[in-house]
Amino acid sequence: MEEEKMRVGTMVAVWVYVLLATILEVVAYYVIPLSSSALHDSVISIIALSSAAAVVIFYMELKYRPRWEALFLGTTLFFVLDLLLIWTASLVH
Amino acid sequence: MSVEERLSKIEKRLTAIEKQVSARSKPHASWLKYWLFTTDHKQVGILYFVTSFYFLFIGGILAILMRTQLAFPLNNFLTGATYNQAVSMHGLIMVLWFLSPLGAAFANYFIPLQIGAKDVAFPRFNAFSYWMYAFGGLVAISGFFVPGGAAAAGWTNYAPLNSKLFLPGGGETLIGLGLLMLWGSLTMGGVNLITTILVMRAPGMTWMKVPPFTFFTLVTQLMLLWSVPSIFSGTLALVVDRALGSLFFVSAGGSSVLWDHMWWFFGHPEVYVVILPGLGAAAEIFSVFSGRPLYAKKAIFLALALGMLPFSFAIYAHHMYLTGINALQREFITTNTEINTLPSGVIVLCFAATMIGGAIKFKTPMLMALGSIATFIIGGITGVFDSSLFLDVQLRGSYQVVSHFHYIMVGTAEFALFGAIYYWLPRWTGRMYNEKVGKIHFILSFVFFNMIFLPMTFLFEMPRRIYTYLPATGWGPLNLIETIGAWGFGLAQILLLYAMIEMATFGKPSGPNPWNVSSPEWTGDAEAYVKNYPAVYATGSVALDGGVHSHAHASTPLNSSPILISAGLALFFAGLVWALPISLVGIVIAFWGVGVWFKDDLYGLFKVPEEPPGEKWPLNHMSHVRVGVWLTLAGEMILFTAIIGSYLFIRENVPIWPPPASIHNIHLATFNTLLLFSSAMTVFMALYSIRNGNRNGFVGWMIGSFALGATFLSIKMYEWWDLLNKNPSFNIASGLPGSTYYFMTGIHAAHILVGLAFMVFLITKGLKGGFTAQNHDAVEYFALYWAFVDIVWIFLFPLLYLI
Repeated sequence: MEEEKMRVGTMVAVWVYVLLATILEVVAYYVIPLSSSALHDSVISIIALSSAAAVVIFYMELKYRPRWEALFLGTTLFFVLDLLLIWTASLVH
Repeated sequence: MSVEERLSKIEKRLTAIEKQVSARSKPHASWLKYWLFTTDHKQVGILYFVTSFYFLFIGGILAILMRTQLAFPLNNFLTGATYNQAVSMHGLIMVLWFLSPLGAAFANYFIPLQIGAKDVAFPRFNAFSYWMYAFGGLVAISGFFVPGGAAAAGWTNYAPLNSKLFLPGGGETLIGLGLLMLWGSLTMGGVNLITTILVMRAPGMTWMKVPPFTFFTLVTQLMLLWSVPSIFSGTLALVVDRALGSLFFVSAGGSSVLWDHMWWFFGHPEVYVVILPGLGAAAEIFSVFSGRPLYAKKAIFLALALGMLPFSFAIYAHHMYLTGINALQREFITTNTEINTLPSGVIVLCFAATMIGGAIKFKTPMLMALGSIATFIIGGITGVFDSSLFLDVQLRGSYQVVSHFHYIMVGTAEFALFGAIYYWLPRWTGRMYNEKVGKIHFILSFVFFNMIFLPMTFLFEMPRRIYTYLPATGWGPLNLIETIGAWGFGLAQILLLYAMIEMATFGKPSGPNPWNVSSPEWTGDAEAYVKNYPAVYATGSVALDGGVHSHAHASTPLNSSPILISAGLALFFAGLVWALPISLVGIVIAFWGVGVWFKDDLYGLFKVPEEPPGEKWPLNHMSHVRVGVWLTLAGEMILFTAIIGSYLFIRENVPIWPPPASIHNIHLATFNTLLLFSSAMTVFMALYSIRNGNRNGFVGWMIGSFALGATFLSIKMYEWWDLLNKNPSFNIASGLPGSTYYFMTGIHAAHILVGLAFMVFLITKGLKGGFTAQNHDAVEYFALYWAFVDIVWIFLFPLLYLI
């Protein structure tokens, strides 16, 4: 039943989006100078996060499946953030 | 060929397959073959049990050697180098190859019985997990026989002591390789047990009706699932440092602090992993021997799931107060550590409340459980001092800390698990122990245990990592008392051995339910348990069925691939240090095992008993395989987070980093990235085709996906080759930019390779007509995996090439 909701057109659109986002990242790399590192890194990171979200939602089909299936992803994200926060903050003085 | 001939050929093939399936399901294969190839959860549990005691013996001998050395000032019983090996291997073996696996032994045997499942979710992976554990231990121990001896950097393998610079012998590399096998084992075991508990419970076995041991094990395994990947990546980096000369832990940018993060993100939750199965068993024992239901079970479950589980990850850096980490972070962690005593307090108080007003029977299991809680309280109180940032600065690295963690990890875990042995072994063997022997065992163990570790609490001026000391320090008398205690504690375990042999061979028949318990692992009747809940554990409240265990006849087939792959990997790893021809033999054996596994799946030769529908809220819509795949991906998420986290840590720590364009061909990498992301689309199209019954479409799209994946991998290999040729100074050993680049892309490439192997399997099965619109689960799960591999590259590409 869930499968019926999925359209090939949607998947192709997501594919195109991920490809364009990748190209956009590369463009950002050349356009925004490395010296403005905060802006440079933020723009590229945001584009990458949006691509990852698109793949999770559509290709991993979380959009089409019952909400509880996101339980594994949601709980793991807590530990992902915990790890990243503690590791990267530990050197800040 | 005519239609009749083709039909006849198919019939013959089906008959041959049926014969093979039948042969593998025979319960009365030869004794040796049965134990080597078993996938039955009860037999695997027994294998864990016996093997963990083998490792206890080795770890125990090492402890006695260490304590003998420290008995007197300026003692020469061991050299400094031998002492370092003894102390390091003692810690590693006891924590990782004895205590945790003993809990896993009970979990494997009893959890399916407790929740009314026929077996664990993935029996073949269960056997694989056991053999990886056993062979991993042998690889680690083989370090004693190589030049330079075994690992000697402590149980934490602190950097840079773990580097070739300080420990050039093969032992440290072998412990790394053995640990890699163990981490694999723990992850597979965790996915298996979590899936089993989540979605294979008997009808009516709702969360609040789940027996305590099962719930404690669930939390334990979740901790492992989320913590092991961090140290898996750390150990892999360590091995690469030692074998290929990368600089993760021997440079200022990576440094010992990075290793500390990777180790303790696993190491602190591991403390709970060691004690929780024992406390789960103690919960059952308190209830049974007090004749009362467990007090405030819901509070205990909530304390575990919402307290201990997340907090164990949030406070791990209290092991790193002196490493120079951020001051605000240290204060935050101190506070959280002290808050984390609350869930422990809830559990202890609920255990006490269970006993209040009960008709307590002081049998050996009860005494052991009481001993466990007593030592837990002592260890907890000493731990409160260590959790304080200010006191920790003084006590860090002293014997006070050694005393604290032995009270928790040995006292709490070991006494509780010994109690579990006396409590549950009659269920395995049908024979009883001698109560007098059991009680003497408890008294001697408890007295000698405290004789070792109570004096140690007051040795807060003695550094913990020295192999001898001067008489003038005044530490001699307390050390002598501890050593006498250690010998006494070790010898007292002969009584445990006697009791276990008695229960296994000549003890009095125990009857089907000697404790008169209503828990389903004793009655074999999960339905009666659920129906009579909450009157459980009030002994005699449920009519027993005379020990007819519904699971006794459920049998999973024998399978040779788990032992073949594990043995092959062990030989491969050991050969890297011992002699390369051994590695070659190992590769052949491992591939043979993988071949057997794939063949079994291709022809459906490995069939497990169908699990009837049961309780699985909130995952009612999910199959157990889908749950297993998501759990595996959760572990993978942490693995790559640890790898990316290390990279960010290093980038933050290294002031100068070469601009990406000065090293990499960004256009080629971008093209390659587009190819990989396109393969996500083609995999989806393959899935879409088979969902609609289009077999040819499925095979075509899957071949296209394979081509894209293989091209991505080929271009990646070309990139490596090109970099090494054009820019020889950018290699894995040239600096952290090279180390991180090759390490991260290498691990991702390994995932692509695994994906390609799966694609070959799917294409082959697809060509044979193995998938239909109704039956194509493997394709669904592969699509999830491949999407995940793409997501990882979505992050790696900008990190390595653009930022």
